Amino acid sequence: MSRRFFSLAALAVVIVGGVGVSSVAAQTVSEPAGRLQVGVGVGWIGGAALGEQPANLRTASGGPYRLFESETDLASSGSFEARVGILVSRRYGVEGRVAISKPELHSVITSDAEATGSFTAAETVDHYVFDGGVVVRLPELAGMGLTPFASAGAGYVRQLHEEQALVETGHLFYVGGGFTRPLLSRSQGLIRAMSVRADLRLNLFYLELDEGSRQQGSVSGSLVLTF
Amino acid sequence: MSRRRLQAWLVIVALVLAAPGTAHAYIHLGFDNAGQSRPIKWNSSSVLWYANDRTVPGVSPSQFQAELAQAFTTWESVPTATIAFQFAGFTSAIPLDDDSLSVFGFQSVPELDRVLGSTAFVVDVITGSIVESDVFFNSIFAWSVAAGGDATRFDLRSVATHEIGHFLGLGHSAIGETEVRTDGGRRVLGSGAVMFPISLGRGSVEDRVLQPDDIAGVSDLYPDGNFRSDTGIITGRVRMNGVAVNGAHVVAFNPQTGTLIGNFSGADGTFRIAGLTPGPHVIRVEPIDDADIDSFLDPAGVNVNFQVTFHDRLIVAPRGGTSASFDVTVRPK
Repeated sequence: MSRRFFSLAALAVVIVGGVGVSSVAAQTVSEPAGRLQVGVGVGWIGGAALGEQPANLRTASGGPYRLFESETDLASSGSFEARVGILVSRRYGVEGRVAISKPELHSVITSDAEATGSFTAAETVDHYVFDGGVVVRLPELAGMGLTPFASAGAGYVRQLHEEQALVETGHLFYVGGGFTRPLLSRSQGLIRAMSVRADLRLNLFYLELDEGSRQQGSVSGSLVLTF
Repeated sequence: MSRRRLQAWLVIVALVLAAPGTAHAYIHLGFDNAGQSRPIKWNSSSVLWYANDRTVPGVSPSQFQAELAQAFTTWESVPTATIAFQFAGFTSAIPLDDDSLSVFGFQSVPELDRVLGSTAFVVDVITGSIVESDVFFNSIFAWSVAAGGDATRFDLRSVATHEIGHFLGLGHSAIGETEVRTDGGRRVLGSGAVMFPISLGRGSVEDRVLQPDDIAGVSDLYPDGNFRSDTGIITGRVRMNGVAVNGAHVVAFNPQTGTLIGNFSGADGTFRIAGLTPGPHVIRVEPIDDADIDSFLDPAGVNVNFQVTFHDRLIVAPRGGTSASFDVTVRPK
């Protein structure tokens, strides 16, 4: 599932980015530049296959004897996120984000030498992401009230196993894109604009206990207030 | 303080030719002192050992000493443990004599026709400190010191590595699988620890190399400075129908590294597995059914009438700490 999501996210970025280069600007951005933006939202982060690992014993000749097999994955889960950013120009913005999710880690055991059937062992992981990056708005591609954007950045990951029995940290990189749709825009008052935003991302996580990177796609929707 | 000495065959910690075998993890040898179980261990930083000067076909005294020295080095090389040995010389002293010398040597013991080797101790029963430990290798069998093994003989270094594990205070591990042969003995299908009680057989040199369970066991007994802070401990309890299960073999499997490290539950059903890489572990519980129970534990009260069970939660070994205790419920056979 995560791989399919990855392809989707990559495709979206390519389309948004590629077309953006050759298109002509056609529509203005509702959110004014130079102002603080705050958003909150919910989302979904895709799962990740963490690999298969046999429980091998040694035979007299040194070959393996399979006691059982295991396959471990991190399940997809809902997430909550909060974002703070600023549009430094009509096209470019910078932002920081906190995202919290509680995915389940599953290990499925099969082919046990002494027990029939399969068994699943699981734990819930508290997953915290603190990231920041650049947003490139693409007003030239706007249509139907939607303004597309592309984004990329990096961040810090903190993963708590079993109610903080183990803290695992790491970092991530992401690329993505999406669109915003203005709901309100005014020239006075504390809140100058309000919009909804949809994000699609590919996240590459590098965590202490993982070998290599873990690819996970994510989608989210948020309400953004511009002050 | 008066020192009471106890010479005891604490365990007939022997490799058996085709006898029972089980799959387990490490266990420490110990004894009860005033109702408290205490592990036995060496309390000196460098342990002296002697080699008996007897010869057997295919193994000269110098070859015997060289193979033992390599086996000692294997244990000394565990990076998370601190223990050192020193060869003190050849001797005509016989293993198992109470002479304050720790002697390794060949002896012919035909009545132990399935026993390749055995380790005995003299222990200070006040402190648990090992005072003397002797190891014999049964010369009724043919032995080999060939680098790649000899298909018709038992590899001396492999068996010595196992016996030195006992010499250090380790008991048998049950991480292994066996099948019953037609003659009533057992054949090892797979072994996950040098300290598994049954030999992999003639010609095999696999037990020259320590496995994660062996390394965890010796490191827990002789930890180096970072072992406790870099690894984690899992504790829990095995129950069946609300009653504690005594003698269950509990194995922690790391789904990331593939390592298997285990231990046994006690009379109150509790178990403790130390030396785990921090992270989530799959917990597998099985009865002792691949070897004689007394290869591992006092058989009295040991329950083997339950099914192999995987706990439904992944249990996290915290770095430098101990997991919250949890219950594994097993079902009767």
